[in-house]
Formats: sequence, structure tokens, C-alpha cells
Amino acid sequence: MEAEHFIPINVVFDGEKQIQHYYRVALIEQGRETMLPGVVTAWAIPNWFAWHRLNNLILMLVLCGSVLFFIEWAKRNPNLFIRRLTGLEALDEAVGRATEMGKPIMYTTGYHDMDRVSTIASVNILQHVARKVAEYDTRMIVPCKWSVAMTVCQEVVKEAYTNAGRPDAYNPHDIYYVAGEQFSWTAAVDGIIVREKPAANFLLGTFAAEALILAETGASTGAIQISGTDSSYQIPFFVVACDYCLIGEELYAASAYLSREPKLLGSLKGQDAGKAILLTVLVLGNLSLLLHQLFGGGEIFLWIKHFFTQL
Amino acid sequence: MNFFKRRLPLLVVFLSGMMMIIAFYIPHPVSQDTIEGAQRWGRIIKNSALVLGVLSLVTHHLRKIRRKQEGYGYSVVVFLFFIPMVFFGLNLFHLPEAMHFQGGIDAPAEGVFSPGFWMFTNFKVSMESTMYSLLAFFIASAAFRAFRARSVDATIMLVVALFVMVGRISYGDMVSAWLQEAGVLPFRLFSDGTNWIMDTWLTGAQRAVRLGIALSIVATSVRIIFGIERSYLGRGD
Repeated sequence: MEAEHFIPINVVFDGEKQIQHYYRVALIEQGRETMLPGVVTAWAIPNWFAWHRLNNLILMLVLCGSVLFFIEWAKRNPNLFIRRLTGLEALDEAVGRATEMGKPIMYTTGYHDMDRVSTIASVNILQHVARKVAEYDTRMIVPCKWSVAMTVCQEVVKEAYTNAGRPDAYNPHDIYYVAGEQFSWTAAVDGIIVREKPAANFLLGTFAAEALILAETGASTGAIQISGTDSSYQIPFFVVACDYCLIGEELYAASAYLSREPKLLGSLKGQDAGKAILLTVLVLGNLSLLLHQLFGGGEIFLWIKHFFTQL
Repeated sequence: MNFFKRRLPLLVVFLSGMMMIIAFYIPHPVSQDTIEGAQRWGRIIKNSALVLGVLSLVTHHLRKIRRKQEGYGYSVVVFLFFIPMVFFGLNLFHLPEAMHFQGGIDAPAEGVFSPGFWMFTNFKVSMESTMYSLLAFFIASAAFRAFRARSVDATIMLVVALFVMVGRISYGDMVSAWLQEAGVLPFRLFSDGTNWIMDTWLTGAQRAVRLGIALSIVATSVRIIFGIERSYLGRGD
């Protein structure tokens, strides 16, 4: 009986030119290696589908399908429960505090540009904050690290002021580019905090080493600070130094929480369903590996492990 | 006009998003070259937008100087460094090499002086290091405020944090070495204990947070690609 064996290899193609590969095959049996005579040649052919990513595709379809399903489901069942997020509940309090004290609000969208989902999530929250700021007639400063993020923030804030009926109050000079390098931007924002002394600081987005520097500087001026990041290494610093902190996924749930749109709430439910699926798989997977270790046999256990190992 | 302001951006987002997702599963050079081209264009657009940023920076500080707003001295300092750095960094006027000058910010050859490189290493790098070093002091002040035994949970956190801090320095092993030498413990108390805490408790908690973040990114991306989330366009509808 002939058997086919194959080993997947990574090949870099030089444009249309096919590259010839040379192989020697060895048979290894009971510790003995027998090199077969001759050299085998083969031409690499590019695949139209990455079969080693099939499990990734299945999982992606399941998770995305879950999100889309619940978005549709939420259109028929609009009253969805979402737990309280104290950081977002304090948004009104922070803006009100700044208005009473006659001091500005400082909002930053974080370290990355608009190509990161966390920055988009931050801009979604900026829209709501800007509307509140427009209604309360408070000044808001948005120092930006990236030009594209700056233009998006300007557009979002301008639209928020227009929707609040205060297009005349919009000041484009308060949303500006400060610096492109990490600590140059940090120094500029710290300077704004120390000189302008905002009553409320919003630090929402992805942050790196500058997280604690910004948060501590804001704390030293007595500002109320609402932070939120998906950087797991910076979350402890924000929890310590800020009054309110949105941890990880709460930053991404903010737009659904603030707008209460059924479609957005439905996507949160779909996300939770995906989480439930993964947790079930985690438990079953660990159980199956344990059973395999204890009792042996059962190729299904190893198949489950392999399915979720190479993603 | 509604097509160009609303529908066209949504269409571009949908097509770009789907293209990137599909290309991830197609290793063929046709797909990979398309993606690489798209990413190259993205970098070009992003760097071209830097012009807007520089314009914003210059107008902001010029405005402050013209109006003599509070703190306008700092804006003067910005231009004092910005102009020479641009001049030498971009090598706008070719410096005479016969006088052993070199333009740009690359490291100069032996016996050649590069003002751009000198300013980069002696100003920018030094100031960035200074800002980074502030973290040491801020961590101390944040820890002083945070580590208070107000409740049972806070006390446990305080004790574990102190244990980990001692375990991360060589002093921890120096103090507890006698326990291992005397055969009381088969491992180094502080350093091995710290590694165990970091590898089990901390890693477990971090993975839980990252799992939630990853799922949120998937859900947010689906919303953006399919046009359900449109806040980035400037309006919430």
C-alpha cells in the first residue's frame, strides 16, 4: 500500500519565478537512520488556502457569527441588560466638576494612531464627552500624538458640538498635534496638565510606559481622572493612580454603554456568547487532556488539543 | 453628497476589512502582494498626514506667541529647537563636506561632525531618558498611596506586593539563602516564590483580561467593518 506523507514548508517566492528544492529522504526506525539513495527534486507551488489556519478560520467564523447573530437578535429584543460601569457613570460628574471649577477638561486618545481598535474605541467615547462638554459650555483640550487621530478627533468634536446646538463654541485650536515620539508627547501632555490644570483628565486608549507618568501628574494637580486601556501591563498603574479605570474590554464596551443602541448592545451579548464558548472549550479541553493523561488512549483528546494549539 | 460623506467611507472600510481578513487565509503571492501594497499605501498616507500635524504644531505655538498667552515662552523654546532640527535633520542645504560637516541624523563618519546627530543624541535621547526615569519616582509615590492595609483584600495585596518586590532584587535571596542551605526549604523562598506568583496567579489573571480584550477587538472590528459602528465618521447615526 502506498502512503502519502507531506511536510509543510514555508517558501518565499521570487515573484513568478518558481524555486526548485532538493531533498534527501531518510527512514528512521527504532533509532536507526537509513538514508535513501538519490536526491529528490520538487517545485514549490503556492497554496490558495492556508490549511494550517483552518482551525483559526472556523473559530473566527463562530465568533463573528455569534456577534452578528446577536446584533440581529437585539433588533427584536432591544431591552438588553448591561452591568454598571462606574468609570462611565462618572463621566457626567467629571464634566460637571470641571464646569463648576471653571477649568478645562483634558482628553487623550492614547499612544497609537487610528489603525488600532483601541483608539477608535476612545474616539467613540470622545464623541459622548464632547457632547456633554458642549452642553455644559466647558473647554476641552485634546493633545494628539498622531496627525490622523488629530483630524478624526477634530471632526468628531466638531460634529458633537453641532449636534448639541453649539457649533459656535467649537474651538479647533484646542485639538492639536503635540509630538510624534513617545516621551516627547508625554512631556507635552504633562506640561498641559501642569500649566492648564484641568479639573478632569480622560486617559482612554492604548498606553505604554507613559501611563503612570501621565496619571501621576494628573493626580498631583488634583484632577478627577477617568482612564481606560487594553494594555494589560498598564492597567494596575491606572487602577492605582486614577479615580476610575475601565479595564480591558470595558473600554470597547463604552460606546454601547453610553449610546444604549440595541445593535451595539447586541454585539456585546454576542461577544459574551463567544466568551462562554471559549470558556466551555477551555474546561472541556483541560478535562480531556487530564483524562488522556490518566487513562491514555482516545485520539479525540489529542485532536482537541491540536485544534486549539496551532492557531 | 451623502454618498461621499457616508456611504463611500463605509464601503471603503468594508472592502478593506474583508480584504485583510481574506488575505490572512490565502498565502498565495497574489494575495500577499496585494496586502503588502495596501499596507504600503497606508504608510504613505499616514506619513503624508504628518504635514497636517506639523502645520497644527506650528500654528498652535505661533498663535500663543502672537497673543502672548500664558506660557508662550515655552512656545518660543519649541521653535528654538524645531527650526535647527528640521534644518540639519532634513539636510535642506547641503553642508560643505570639505569642512567636515554632515547633514541628516545618521551617525557621522570618523572626523566628521553632524549637527543633526549631535542634537538628536544630546538633546532628544537625553530628554527621553529623563522622562523615562521619572517612572521610578512615580512608582514610589503611587505605591505609597496604593499599598495601605485598609481591608483584608488590601492587606493581602500589600503583603504579596512586598513579597514580589523583595523577590525581584538580589537582597531577597541573600536574606533567605540560609533556609535552603539548612534544608528547611528545597527552593529559594523569595525568587522562586516570586516566579511562582508571576507564573500562576498573575499570568492567569492577565490571560483572562487579554481573552476579554481579544474578544472585544473581534466584536468591535466586526461592528466597524459592517458599518454598525460609525462614530469615527463624526456622527453617531
